[in-house]
Amino acid sequence: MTGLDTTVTANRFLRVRRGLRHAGFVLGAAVLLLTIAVALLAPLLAPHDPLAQNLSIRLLPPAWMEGGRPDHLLGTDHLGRDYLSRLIYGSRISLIVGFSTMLISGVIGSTLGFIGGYFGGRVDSFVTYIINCRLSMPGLLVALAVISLVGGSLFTMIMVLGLLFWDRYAVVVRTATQQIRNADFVSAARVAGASAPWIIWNEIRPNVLHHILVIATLEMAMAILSEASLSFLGLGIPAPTPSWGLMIAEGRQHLFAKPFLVWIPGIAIFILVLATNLLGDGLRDLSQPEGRR
Amino acid sequence: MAAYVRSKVIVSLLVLFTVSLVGFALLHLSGDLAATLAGENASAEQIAELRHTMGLDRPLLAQYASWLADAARGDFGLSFFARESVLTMFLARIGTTAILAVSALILAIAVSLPLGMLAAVRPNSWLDWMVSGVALSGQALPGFFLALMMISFFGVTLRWLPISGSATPLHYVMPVVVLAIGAIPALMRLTRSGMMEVLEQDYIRTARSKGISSLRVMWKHAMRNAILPIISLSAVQLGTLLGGSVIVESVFAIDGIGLLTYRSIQRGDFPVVQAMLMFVSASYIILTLLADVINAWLDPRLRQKSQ
Repeated sequence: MTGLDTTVTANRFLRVRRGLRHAGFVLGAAVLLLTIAVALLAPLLAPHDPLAQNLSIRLLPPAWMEGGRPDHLLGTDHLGRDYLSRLIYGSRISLIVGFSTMLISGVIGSTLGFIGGYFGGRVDSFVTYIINCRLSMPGLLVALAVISLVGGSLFTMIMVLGLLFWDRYAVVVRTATQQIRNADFVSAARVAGASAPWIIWNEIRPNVLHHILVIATLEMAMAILSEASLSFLGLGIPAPTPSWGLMIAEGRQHLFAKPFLVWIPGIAIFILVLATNLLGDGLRDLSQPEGRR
Repeated sequence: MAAYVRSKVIVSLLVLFTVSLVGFALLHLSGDLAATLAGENASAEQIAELRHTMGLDRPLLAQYASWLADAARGDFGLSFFARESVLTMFLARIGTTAILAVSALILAIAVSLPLGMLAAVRPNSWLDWMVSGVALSGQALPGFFLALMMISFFGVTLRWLPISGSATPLHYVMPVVVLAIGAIPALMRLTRSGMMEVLEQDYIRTARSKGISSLRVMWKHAMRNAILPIISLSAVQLGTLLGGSVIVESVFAIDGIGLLTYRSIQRGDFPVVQAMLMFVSASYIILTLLADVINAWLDPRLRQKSQ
């Protein structure tokens, strides 16, 4: 094969890869938007009240299985609550926790990253030190311990996760800022007498925004998983609020007889997190011309 | 090299100290430990008395200072419930958790390294796509859900594996696989991207053009550079696995330090929780320090950069 052939093949491969990544991006965005729509329209879409108990129809299987009923498409749980309705309302918890955590940790982490990356020297050493301390603390364990002491609620969950999981933002924004802090347009602004906060906000932030967006999606996926894990362990969203992690914890008692109680919310978490990650990977590849990593 | 190691050790000790202070403060300021301990039916006087006997009414810094002084001598206090020394309880269970975490890391590396390398050599092959797919799905699977699925399939439907406890080596199979699957995506992605980067370097092309076989180029030339970030990540992952053992041990009812911590968190057994936080942080710090030193030893450029 001549050199030219290799380049052509490589380019074709790269195009195929980027095309598929693009498809992943579109798919991820579509699933995420669909979930948001479901969460917003939950009162219209849910066939039943997610909290209404009816012990006479407890543990009904999904409609397509033997003994299932068409008015309870995904069956009912151990208290006779409609599983589809609980699943629909559960998407609200996952999305609220995902988005809020992403925002809070994004503000904390990006600010630290900007400060460390822009000022360098002693300031940067201090920021690196703070990041190191945070990374040395086991996030999930600290979250478990603090939530158990404060008492589990949606607000506590969001605050604890948001105040803990800012490390990736800080690391990435710091590196990205370092790379452009001596670029011509930044120096020009500095010479023109602009203040550091102004330069960071108007010159640097727009140029690292795509990095922040990528981390934001990955961080959202992580927050959704963490919420599910904490709720599963019984130290997160308190019952009877429908949270997917809590639904798995409650369904676990019936794992052998009624495995669908665990399968259904588990698959829901999997699909939502997968979609969010696909979106993040797509964003990264589309904003990076080499289309790798 | 000695100067490099010394400065790294000093920073690590500082980080450990800060983390212990923050952890201590978090646990004390998040809620009323005495009220948690006394239970819901306790009167105000009972809570106050308990607070006094536990020494929880002293200033926070004084409590921290005496905890630190004891901890430095290896004394992590008594459990509020078991009336046993925290250290004894830990030592009795650390082996189980260490076996879990280390086996999971070994399994994860054994899967990720060859697959990640092969994917890097043949980008866009079916293998490369499989690697990307596995990494993506692995990242989206909650560990506890995977554990329950495995219990229901391998434990109940097929009856191949025991579903709870740690009596025989067979009991470890499912927990180790669940933990490993949690660590594989990051390791595999890093191996693939690191290897791809190294394979594009000039010295690899030179080695290739000298007619050295692909496999030899991979092992002798590329691996040495691609392995650096993998060592660091493995150290980080081992720390994560120790923390992740809380979920896996509670699902599989394995009596390691993860389950001990989970139970202690539930009943407000503060000395045990604080000791576990310290243990995981210290392991993380020591492991990353070791990884830094190994990396500096493998790559002399790193030593100069930080001086």
